[in-house]
Amino acid sequence: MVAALPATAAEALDSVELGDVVQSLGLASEDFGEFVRAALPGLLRYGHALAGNPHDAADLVQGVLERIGARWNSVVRRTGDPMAYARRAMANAHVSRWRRTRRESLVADLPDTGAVWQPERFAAEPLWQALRALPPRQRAVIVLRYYEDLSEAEIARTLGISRGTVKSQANKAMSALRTRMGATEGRDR
Amino acid sequence: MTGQSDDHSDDHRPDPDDVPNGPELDDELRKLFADDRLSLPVSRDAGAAVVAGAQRRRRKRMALATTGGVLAMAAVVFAGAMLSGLVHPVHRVNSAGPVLSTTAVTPTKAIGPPVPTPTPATTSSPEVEQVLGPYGLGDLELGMSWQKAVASGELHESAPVLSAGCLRYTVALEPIPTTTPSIAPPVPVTRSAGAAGAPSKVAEVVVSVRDGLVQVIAGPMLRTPEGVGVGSTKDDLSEAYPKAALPPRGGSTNVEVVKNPMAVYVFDVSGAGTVTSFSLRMAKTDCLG
Repeated sequence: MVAALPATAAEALDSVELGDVVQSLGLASEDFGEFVRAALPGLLRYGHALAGNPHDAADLVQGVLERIGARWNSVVRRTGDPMAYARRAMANAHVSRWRRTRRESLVADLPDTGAVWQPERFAAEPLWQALRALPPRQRAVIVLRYYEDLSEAEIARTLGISRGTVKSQANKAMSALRTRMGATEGRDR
Repeated sequence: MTGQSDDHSDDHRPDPDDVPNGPELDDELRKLFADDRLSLPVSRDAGAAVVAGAQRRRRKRMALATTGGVLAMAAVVFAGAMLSGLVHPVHRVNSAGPVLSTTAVTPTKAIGPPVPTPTPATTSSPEVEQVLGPYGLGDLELGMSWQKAVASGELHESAPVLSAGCLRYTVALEPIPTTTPSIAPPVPVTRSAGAAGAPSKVAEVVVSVRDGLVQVIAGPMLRTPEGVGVGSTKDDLSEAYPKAALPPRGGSTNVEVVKNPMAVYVFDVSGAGTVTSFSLRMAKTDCLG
């Protein structure tokens, strides 16, 4: 389900000499750089779905990738699948709302400079707005279910909560969405 | 025990029975999440920024592991000893037997009011990678025998005996990304001493020789499944556990564990309304750490 790599992203990353930097870290050589290059577009997109806005998405992705990079060997060895690990870590980081201060975004090229992305139109989607209003955990459950297409059991494992909680959070989220959608549809459709 | 014993009727995805969903909302959500506009442009320096950030975190971790960690461990161990009444004012320490001999703490600060708890600064590691779930921490489950707990290989650095038959250990699980966030001041709380690559401390456990594992005391990077951990606010707490009785001026509060009637969560809340520590504990135990 990882989105295809946008050409812009690929081009942008080509210019970055990741290999050198990584080598100097004593990390697992170019692997981490490669991983970042390949993973960023998909993770940003996923982070956008999770966090509800580009800034927090970038923050989420950056934080998680940095932590993974700092322990790259161990992540690879233990999980065998850093991408899946990154996505789980993002879901959890989102839920835990660890981010108390917003950092300057270094990862995503955000709207004020980029002409490609059109925030206004998307942000105006009633469903998107309704999603943004959900509490983090409910939102995570919805994203894992409809974006990641995970089963209830997989969601429970990912977030470390019970299946019952997944179910109740999903129920709450869906009825909140329904209510909000109903409200907006009355007005502006 | 075959087939049916697996009580999960798994994997029929959008549970048809659970929500008054209607298929439309499902579809709309899928459509929304497939929307191209969800993609974000990757900035030019993204890769370098991430790698540099990783480098920073790695360095910080190493520094903590080799310096701050030693002090932090000593402080935690010592505070634990204070609590259990094992440590007495200065002049007694030398004769207190082997209990403190490994920690080499100079107990000058120990006189005066008892140290409340090994309280990590509330700003430390507000990241979550590990969940202290209803039954325990990973393979370390409440109620497992002392022998099994020890055999798990996850217990380290036995700390002073809390009371007869009760032992306290550090757990080093090496959770993945558990570096301190770069924006926070370095708070030497969570690292055990050791060289690079040494396992990091994520919790402490109290094991009763008689009752087995009775308590898991969470380190700052652990959270409950409901997302509460060190640094959470009172509001977080009551949002996650509506039934929790919040001590108005700080103190500790017990919360039932939904999936495990044998256990409770105990949250210590500061006067300012922040969770300073928490643990998962057998509801009934003679060992209190």
